[in-house]
Amino acid sequence: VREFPLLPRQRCAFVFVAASAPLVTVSARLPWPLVAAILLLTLALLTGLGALEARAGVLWPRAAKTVWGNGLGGAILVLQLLFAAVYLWQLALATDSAFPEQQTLPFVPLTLLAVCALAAGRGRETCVRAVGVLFLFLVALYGAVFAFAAPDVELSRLTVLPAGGDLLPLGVVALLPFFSVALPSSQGKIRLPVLWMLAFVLLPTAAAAFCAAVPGSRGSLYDMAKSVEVFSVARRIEPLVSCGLTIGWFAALCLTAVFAGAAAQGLGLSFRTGAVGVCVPAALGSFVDIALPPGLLLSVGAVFCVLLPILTQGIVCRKKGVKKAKKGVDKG
Amino acid sequence: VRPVSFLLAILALCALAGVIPFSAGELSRVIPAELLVVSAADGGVLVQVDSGTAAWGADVPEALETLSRAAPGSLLLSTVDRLVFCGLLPEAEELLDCGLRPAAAVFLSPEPEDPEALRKYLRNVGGVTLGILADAPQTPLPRLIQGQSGLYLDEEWLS
Repeated sequence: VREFPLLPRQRCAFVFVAASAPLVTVSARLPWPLVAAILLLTLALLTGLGALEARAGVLWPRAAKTVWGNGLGGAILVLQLLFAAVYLWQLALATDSAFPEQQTLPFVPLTLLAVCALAAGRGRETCVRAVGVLFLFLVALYGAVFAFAAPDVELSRLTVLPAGGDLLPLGVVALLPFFSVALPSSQGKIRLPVLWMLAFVLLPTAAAAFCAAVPGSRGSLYDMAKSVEVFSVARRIEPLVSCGLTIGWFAALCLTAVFAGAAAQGLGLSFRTGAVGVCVPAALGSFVDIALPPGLLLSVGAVFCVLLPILTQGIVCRKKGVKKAKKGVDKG
Repeated sequence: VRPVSFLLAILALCALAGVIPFSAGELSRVIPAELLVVSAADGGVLVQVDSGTAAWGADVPEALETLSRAAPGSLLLSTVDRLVFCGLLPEAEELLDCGLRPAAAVFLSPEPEDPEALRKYLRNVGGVTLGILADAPQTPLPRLIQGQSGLYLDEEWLS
């Protein structure tokens, strides 16, 4: 497996495309200010983690063993790998939502997992480059859908927020960007350019706002696209939305597989073993349509993908700070 | 064997075995409907499209299913642009679930007129859409009125 340093914008494009489909699907049913607030919080945590990694100078899988030792650090990485496998299974089942009018299980998850395994087996760079090409197409596609849906928007409906809405699924899919710790950039940092990451907040917020403001959307971007007319001559552009969602789900599967590959590397296995290995149980799981409770996924994911990396990097930074201070005292 | 060839071979096998969940259709047999008339008849629902096909069912989903089967080709209900209700007001959510577009304009009619004539008459008239009706079922709908020379739309809606 060849490994190349990645440009920060390549990583951002990957995270944006990977998060697009799950976030758009879940956010469309929720009040748009709430979506924006939760995603901004996610962005703040992600930026904080990036800043800590940059200061620590040690990337996540290695940092786990450096701080917690081989035993505990290894156990954390094993659990993280297991979580990635379960998360990949749940993502694979959710790919069905790209085609709401057909029952596509297990054909679509199996196809996407096969292509994902093919890309992930060739290393991080193949996934990032493949998704980088799809990124341009995805931006044009969502841009066109929102632009042509704009005449149907009733601004007064934006102020009437849908009551309730389950926030837990949004929390679960908001974990996806944290998997980008497995994508070190050319400087060995995971810092993400803020402007790029704002797009990650804007797309789901726009999806939620458009679904609220276009009558008959019923909390689904696919249904919203049914109302869209292109210059009063073309209709039925919802297959384009399906296409965009399929691209997004594929990227989400790739990012999760890459995350699993990095955890496997931390355990001394090859990247390929981890990245392709997690696709196998997920493919078998595509025949078992069971949605795990989002609360369970969120709590486990928050511990292993957000809290532990932040805590670990915080400890590395603190140790580094103490060492520097000691050196300063010695010199003085 | 290269992984790509292996993947393509599996996909080809799936296609041959009919596992692929997307149905193929002949383009020449596609009938895109533009107007749908839904009327109460014989204790059930009668549905007619502008292409001339009609079907009866106990409720709207059943009638639409029968209509799709009775059509001489693949009837596309997702292209319906105008909906005329006659003697009943079906639930908009139910119609959306049947694949009708939320942007389809809805009208009320006192009697089931010829769908082809209605299509020509209502071609350039907008109004309340199925999506609006789904969100606010109490929305007043444009009414067709019986005149001496046939149905015509209330002037309030024409303006």
